Amino acid sequence: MKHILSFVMIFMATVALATSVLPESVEQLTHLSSVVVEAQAVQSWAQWNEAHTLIFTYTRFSVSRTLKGQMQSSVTVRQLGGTLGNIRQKVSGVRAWRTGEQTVLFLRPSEAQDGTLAVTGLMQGNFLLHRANNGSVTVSNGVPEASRYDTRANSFSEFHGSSLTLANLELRVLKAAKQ
Amino acid sequence: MTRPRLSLLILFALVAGALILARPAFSYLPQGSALGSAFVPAAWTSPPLWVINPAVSGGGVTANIAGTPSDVTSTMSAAFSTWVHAPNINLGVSTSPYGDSTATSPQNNINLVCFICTGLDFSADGALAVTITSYNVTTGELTNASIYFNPAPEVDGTPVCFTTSDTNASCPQSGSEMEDLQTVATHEVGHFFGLDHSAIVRAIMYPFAPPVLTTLSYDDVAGMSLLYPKSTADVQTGAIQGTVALNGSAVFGAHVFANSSTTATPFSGFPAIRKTPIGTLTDPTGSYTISGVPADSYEVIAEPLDGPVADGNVDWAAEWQQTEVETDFTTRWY
Repeated sequence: MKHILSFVMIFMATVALATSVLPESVEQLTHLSSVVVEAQAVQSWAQWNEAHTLIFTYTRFSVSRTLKGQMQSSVTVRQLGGTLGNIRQKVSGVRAWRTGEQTVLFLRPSEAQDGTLAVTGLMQGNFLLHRANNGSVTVSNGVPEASRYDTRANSFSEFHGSSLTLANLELRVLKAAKQ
Repeated sequence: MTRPRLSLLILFALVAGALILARPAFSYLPQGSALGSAFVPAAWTSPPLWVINPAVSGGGVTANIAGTPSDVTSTMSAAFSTWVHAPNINLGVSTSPYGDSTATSPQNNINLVCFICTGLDFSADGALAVTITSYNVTTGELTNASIYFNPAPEVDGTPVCFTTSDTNASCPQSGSEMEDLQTVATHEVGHFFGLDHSAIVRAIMYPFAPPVLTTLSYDDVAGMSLLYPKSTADVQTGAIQGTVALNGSAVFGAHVFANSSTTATPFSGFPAIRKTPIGTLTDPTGSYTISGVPADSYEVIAEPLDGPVADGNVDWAAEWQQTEVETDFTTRWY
């Protein structure tokens, strides 16, 4: 029997955020990632893949805290897309980092197998930090608040990718990493 | 705490007939590049040829698709057809006269649709598909666009299976959740033609889609018809242009949209086109132009781009070399 995944969202129905992804919980992102770190973008560069068919942008991050995985002082993340000369390759929804930006990254080894890492779930494993004037620190991966109803399990899953405090995200990652 | 007041000045509104615009204008959030004070949209300069590798298995990869190579080809054809046969749009598109591709990795010389391709950092997660567009940042000319589907997506540990119109087909992975292939494909084809995400709810280019949505909205048609206009439009449209200012200063990245205040259906001759607002974002001078607006009465609404669609979904600030879009204002309408 086929099971249809239906979604109910606080604001509106949603299933796929495009280019196109299904929302994953923080716990699942943690489970899928070999490394979760709090980090700051230090340097970015773009280069062609070996076949000269795809541009990847590489960003080196200085790590301030490791929430999952082996502690390391820096990580290099590769993402699809970038600009070289007059040529730009774009993947809508995949956002490049600017130097100095702080983020919580959910990462796994990239297909390049060169020590670089890829963001889990395309853009979902990238929670940018935002410091408000009142001192509060929130994070967002661009996924709006949503609930997903799984007809098989008869249960709801909650997603709050756009309204998490950093402290809450850290807590959930650390808890999930222990499981 | 009192928020600063927003003053919205509509320089003029014209909702019927043609309008010669002094600056590039968008009724959607475009792909492209900001060059100085102008934005060069990415678009094809001649009808593109798309080529499909219809294989759903091969090279040690089995795509979790309930359908045959013929089914996925039909689905992709339907998705392309939805766009090129929409009103006010003049863009031919063709499939390969040379037969299907067997490529399983990105190619420079073909606009590939692929279900078993590697080298794209896909893994067993919620990423369903990506469209990679290549364009010249100076001229905006699109030179390549390819759509890659994740062969084995998962959500919360459960396999996700793409369904096709072949309801008798079964998923290779048992216990899969279902995802409508044409819904994903129609959105991705919008990227293929140069559209970025729209902040208009119910637009096919809205980044958060319902389970099944394969028809276009007024906002989608406005965006595509601006890139690829018909010499004689099926439905006459105009533009609404203005400036958003906050305490006398330009507001960058405000989402401005025209919302019909009537029950008129100017695209009634095209029943598959859904009535929605038509929107755009302001540039660093606070200016906006909402083009492709059919004759009707409208409220013009300016709102912060602070969710559900946020700058992270469109990267508008980076395109204009700005730190961030301005969101510290309340929604206003005129």
